[in-house]
Amino acid sequence: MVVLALVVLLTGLVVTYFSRSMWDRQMSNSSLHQALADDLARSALDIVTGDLKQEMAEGSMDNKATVDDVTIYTPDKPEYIVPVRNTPTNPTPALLRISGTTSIAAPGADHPASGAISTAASANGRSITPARWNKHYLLPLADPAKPTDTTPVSSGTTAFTPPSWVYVTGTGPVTLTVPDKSVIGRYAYAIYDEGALLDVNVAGFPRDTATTTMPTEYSPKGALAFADLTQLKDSGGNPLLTQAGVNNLVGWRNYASLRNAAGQPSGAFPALTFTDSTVQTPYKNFVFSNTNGFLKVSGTPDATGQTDQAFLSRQDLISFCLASGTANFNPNALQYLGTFSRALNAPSWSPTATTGSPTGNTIDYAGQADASSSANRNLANVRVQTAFTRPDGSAASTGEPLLKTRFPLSRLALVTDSATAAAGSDIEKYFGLTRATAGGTAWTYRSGAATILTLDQVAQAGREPDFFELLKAAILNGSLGKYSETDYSLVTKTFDQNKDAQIIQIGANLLDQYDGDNDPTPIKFATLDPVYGLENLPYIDHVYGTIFRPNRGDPQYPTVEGWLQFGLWNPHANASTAASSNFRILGTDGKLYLEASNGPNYYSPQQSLAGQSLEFTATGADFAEPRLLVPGTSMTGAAAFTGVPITAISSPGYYFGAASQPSYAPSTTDAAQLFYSPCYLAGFYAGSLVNPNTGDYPKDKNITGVATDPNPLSYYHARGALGAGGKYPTFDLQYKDASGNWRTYETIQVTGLYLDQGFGGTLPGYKSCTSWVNGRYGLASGWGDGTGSGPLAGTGVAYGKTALSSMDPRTKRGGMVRLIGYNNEIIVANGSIRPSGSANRFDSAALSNKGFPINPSGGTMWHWWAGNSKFQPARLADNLSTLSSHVTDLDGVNRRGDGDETNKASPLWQSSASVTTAGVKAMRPVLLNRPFRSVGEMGCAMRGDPWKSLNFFSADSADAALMDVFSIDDEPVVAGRVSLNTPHASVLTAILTGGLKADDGTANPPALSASEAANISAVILQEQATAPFQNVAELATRVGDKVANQFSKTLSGSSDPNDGYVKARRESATRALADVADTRTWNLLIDVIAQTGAFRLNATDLTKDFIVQGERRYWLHVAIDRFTGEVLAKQLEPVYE
Amino acid sequence: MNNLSSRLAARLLALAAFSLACPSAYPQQANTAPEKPSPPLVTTPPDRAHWKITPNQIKKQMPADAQENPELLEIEAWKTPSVARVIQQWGNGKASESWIADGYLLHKFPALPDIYVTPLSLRSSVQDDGMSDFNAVYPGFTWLDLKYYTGVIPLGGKKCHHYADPENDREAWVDAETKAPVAYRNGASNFVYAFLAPPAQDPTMPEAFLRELQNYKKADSQ
Repeated sequence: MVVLALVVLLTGLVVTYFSRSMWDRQMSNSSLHQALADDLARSALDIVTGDLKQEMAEGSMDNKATVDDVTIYTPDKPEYIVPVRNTPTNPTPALLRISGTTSIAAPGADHPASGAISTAASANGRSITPARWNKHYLLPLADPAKPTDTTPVSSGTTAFTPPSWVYVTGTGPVTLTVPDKSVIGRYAYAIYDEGALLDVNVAGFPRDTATTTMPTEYSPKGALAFADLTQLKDSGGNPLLTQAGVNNLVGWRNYASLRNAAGQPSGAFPALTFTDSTVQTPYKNFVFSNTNGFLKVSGTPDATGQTDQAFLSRQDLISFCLASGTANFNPNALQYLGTFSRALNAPSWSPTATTGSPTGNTIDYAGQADASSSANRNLANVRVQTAFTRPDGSAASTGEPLLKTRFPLSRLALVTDSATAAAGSDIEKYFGLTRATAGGTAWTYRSGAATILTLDQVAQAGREPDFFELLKAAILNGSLGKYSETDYSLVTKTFDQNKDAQIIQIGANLLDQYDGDNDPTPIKFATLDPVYGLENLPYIDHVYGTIFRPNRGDPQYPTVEGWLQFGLWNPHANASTAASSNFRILGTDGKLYLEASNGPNYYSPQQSLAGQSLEFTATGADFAEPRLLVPGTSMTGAAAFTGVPITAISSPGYYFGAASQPSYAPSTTDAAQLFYSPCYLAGFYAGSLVNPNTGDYPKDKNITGVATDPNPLSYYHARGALGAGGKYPTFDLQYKDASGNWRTYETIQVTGLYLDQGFGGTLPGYKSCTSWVNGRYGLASGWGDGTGSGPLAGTGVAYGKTALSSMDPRTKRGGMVRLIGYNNEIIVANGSIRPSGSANRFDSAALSNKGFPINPSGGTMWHWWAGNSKFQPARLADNLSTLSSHVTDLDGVNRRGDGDETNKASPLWQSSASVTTAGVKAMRPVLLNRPFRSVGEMGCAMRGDPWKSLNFFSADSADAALMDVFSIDDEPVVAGRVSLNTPHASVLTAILTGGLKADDGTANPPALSASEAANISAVILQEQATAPFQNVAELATRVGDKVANQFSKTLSGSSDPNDGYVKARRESATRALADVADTRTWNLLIDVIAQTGAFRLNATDLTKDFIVQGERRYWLHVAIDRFTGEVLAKQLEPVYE
Repeated sequence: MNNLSSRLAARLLALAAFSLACPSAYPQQANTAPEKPSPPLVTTPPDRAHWKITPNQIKKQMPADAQENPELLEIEAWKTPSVARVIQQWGNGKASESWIADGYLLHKFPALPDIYVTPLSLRSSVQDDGMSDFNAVYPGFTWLDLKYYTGVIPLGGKKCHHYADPENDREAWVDAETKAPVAYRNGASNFVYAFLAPPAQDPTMPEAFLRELQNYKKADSQ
């Protein structure tokens, strides 16, 4: 019994011993297999990642370029910009690939799986259920009503096909048809496009839940932080995230920063709330003050010691979501949300235009993209040729890309009106500009360099390109430098045909859009006259030659005298917001005189202009429409006149002032030298006609009323002559700055001043300005009946007017149009390209009926006018090749202007009676005078062509690459970008919704509605189906035209043009997306499950006969640069189940 | 013979010619049946030419003070392939000087201090006002048209094609053989052409003209 008891005890001990030993062994074996499984999982991730990099190389076999061991993989085909999709079914468009038996299409690379599906049980009962595969919630749920059940859709075309196993031997992955004893494990994986998702570490903004409109602080967009996450909706249109849910998310994420800045959020998780709009400005500031690309959270705690937080893993996000409650954060939203995104903030644009595309193009930009001599290069493949140290201190080695980062627009803040810069300064490094004196002194570009270097030349020089060099690289060269064959009315040809000068002009315009002052930035380039950035100021719109009979001198033989008058216009929509200022038109050189010909020839003595000026004060509103300068009511003699210009310029009578408004002649300190005209006008005196042989006044019988006097002259000409400085009549338009100094911001040199004016007979164009010599005969009274065809029995004093008219007051490219009062037509101040309505425009009739312009000889710029006897410069606002007048760029492309009169959108006038004046204003360009919120806002800057701003809205854009070359961000790698090839329309809609259509200064500026955003998203997806987007530049060239019809609102009145036809409004989509979209980086989530084990003896079935010994699952978040294959960042997230 | 007496002698010859052949120019009819000349109706100045035009005031409406409205005594023109020059002599003893060179027309007048310069490219068509474009046309003859042709008449011992434009009160006589201009009338004044030996060399442009020409050429090449 005792023995038996001992045996039992011993047996028990032995059993216990062995049992303990077995358990320890199992533990040991388990740990071993776990470690092996971990190794296998990591190896599997390395294999998959390697396959992806191999795919990049395979997809660039024809276009890879290696310099000094640095290889750039430019995709051989457009579709190779994104990973090859290889999924048997399509449960979610974000699913790119699963391990399976289907061969992957070229250039994809993978290690095919064997025919063993992962959901099937192993020999020891291990399987991966579909619900496990969807633990990350990236697949739509089979039952959306059960958000905690992760089972994906399992039937139909959107059914999830589970991955199959890839077996691994000691030598690596193998594809098996039967079990192999050398197998040591297996793995299966699925790859998701995490770049297609909204990164919740950045996306979303706080807003009072009582508000549904987009706060103005957010609507300019410029960051993913301003994506409206409430636009993520279920199939019934219900938000998957409520604003309360978003507030809870942002409150948790940015807790300390917002508490410190705004005293919000209040409450506690999961009910963190923002109760009013006071958080909006602090949140905007928080976003734009971020200096780390959203890669780190602020470590600054609030008063309670809490800090901001970030989702370090997807599992954190899922836990957060589930803890937030389904009502406000439905887990179905997780299919649109990610926690990891990285984008290389470097340009990858390469020109795509080829001969014939766009229509008319004669330059094969794409074919020349890698030619060193080309101005427009394949940007990723421009290499450092001479080693140097970059401004951030890093070494630039030969062979590496010259452009490692985009140019941050924040640098524009350096070039202020009060700044100076010496060699070696940041301004010199980034802009090539230097100057010793602030204020109105012009900056000098690169010590007077004659050209802006190409990128290849910069690479040879061993430095980074400056702002202007990047502009040159990004803007299609053939779109620049249009010019008239001869100097036409103004001396412009030398400047106009200098492409680099136009780049400088565009750069200056961008600087002045960005800065907050209204001081034009002057830049001296090469030996040309300074370039002035455009500001919210009036510009010379007209130059009038005015000839009439004054009521002075000998009543029997009154002379004929001439004046040069000016009309100004500030065509910006926000012109009226400009402060009142003192202005001056200063003559700096040249002479004026009159000539009468075709009969006895009379001349006036030449009048020197140097030092003469017209000075006046005006408010911004005074020139919001074209205005002729006439005497103000308080003007006196030689003093500056302070009255406003005329307001009713459609009435010809306003060419002259009233008796209480004496004439204002060029200023002089010698009152005796003033010319007091009886006609009350303000201008530069051109002299009075005399017989050049005797000095006597002309005596034609139409003037003298003496029948025996000579016949009247046929033509009078206002003429210009060279001054002492060797220039034709030259005028500086100036304003007085805050220091009281006059600053020039526009200079014109009027050449070819040869303005015909008929006289006498039945020709009108003369106006009496007094009745002093009533009774003379034979003089036409041009305004007698208000139509320009007055009775011959005039009042005896004649008046005629011709003019030069700008095609756009902001640029004199191609000169000014000559207008001649002729054939019963009158020229009034708004008888220009911008009359009060299109019916009154001077270009609405054939040449034979209207004051006609003279076509520039050679016709380099202008087309069609000779063909249809019309020259209609107003058509340049549209510049469509189908219109009567248009300008073709030097590369043969007829690029459109900002206007779209066919669709009632014209910056010039009410294109139809139904268009409201507010609508016209909304169609005009805007001077932001504030830092750019979005790289898309560069589209506000004028490009130096009539009625063309930088184009981000049409297929023929030559400027689209600017969106890739410049950036709001200042970091080489940033978070918070979304692939422009995202297949999720909801993601795009969230980004677009609320995007500012127009910065019109109102409390509730127009913004993209959710439905408009959805429409635009659909267009983008349609374009993706054609070919993946290669670059953000394609937002302009591929999306721009197609979104025109996606807008559902009009400007202000029901008959106003649709928003889609107004450039600034159509570009709202571009502005919202340009800073957020990315095409260069592959952001992927690789979901891999690895199992160690082996086939049992005599195994016959790949699935059932595999014995699983260890298992590991990882979600690898990885960002790979498509152009270098470089892994920018990766985050290995162990998955615990 | 000094210049003045030379000019007076030439003028007397011209007056005599007119009084012989065309005592009353305007009502005159051609004395032979019209035979239509073929274009060109009048030649253009050859590469090298030198001519004088002597006016003859038929209907004198002279003001009492010749200094205020001096009579035009003579127009003398020189032309070479490079330049053209015109001098107009006035009854008050002063002269106007004009040049055409390098595409520019330059004038200097007695009563004005400056030289007046006009690029010929600014002019839409050749002008015929007696002092412009004289390198391209003979002054007084640009209006000719077959519709004005009246017939062949003798003038100054030459057979001339005669043209009359009553509406504008003007006439012209063209050498029927050479198509060279002979005379024209515009309103009250007759003008008689006299051709001299063409210049072998370019006339020398005065320094003031030359300087101004260079200034304009430089300005227009900005």
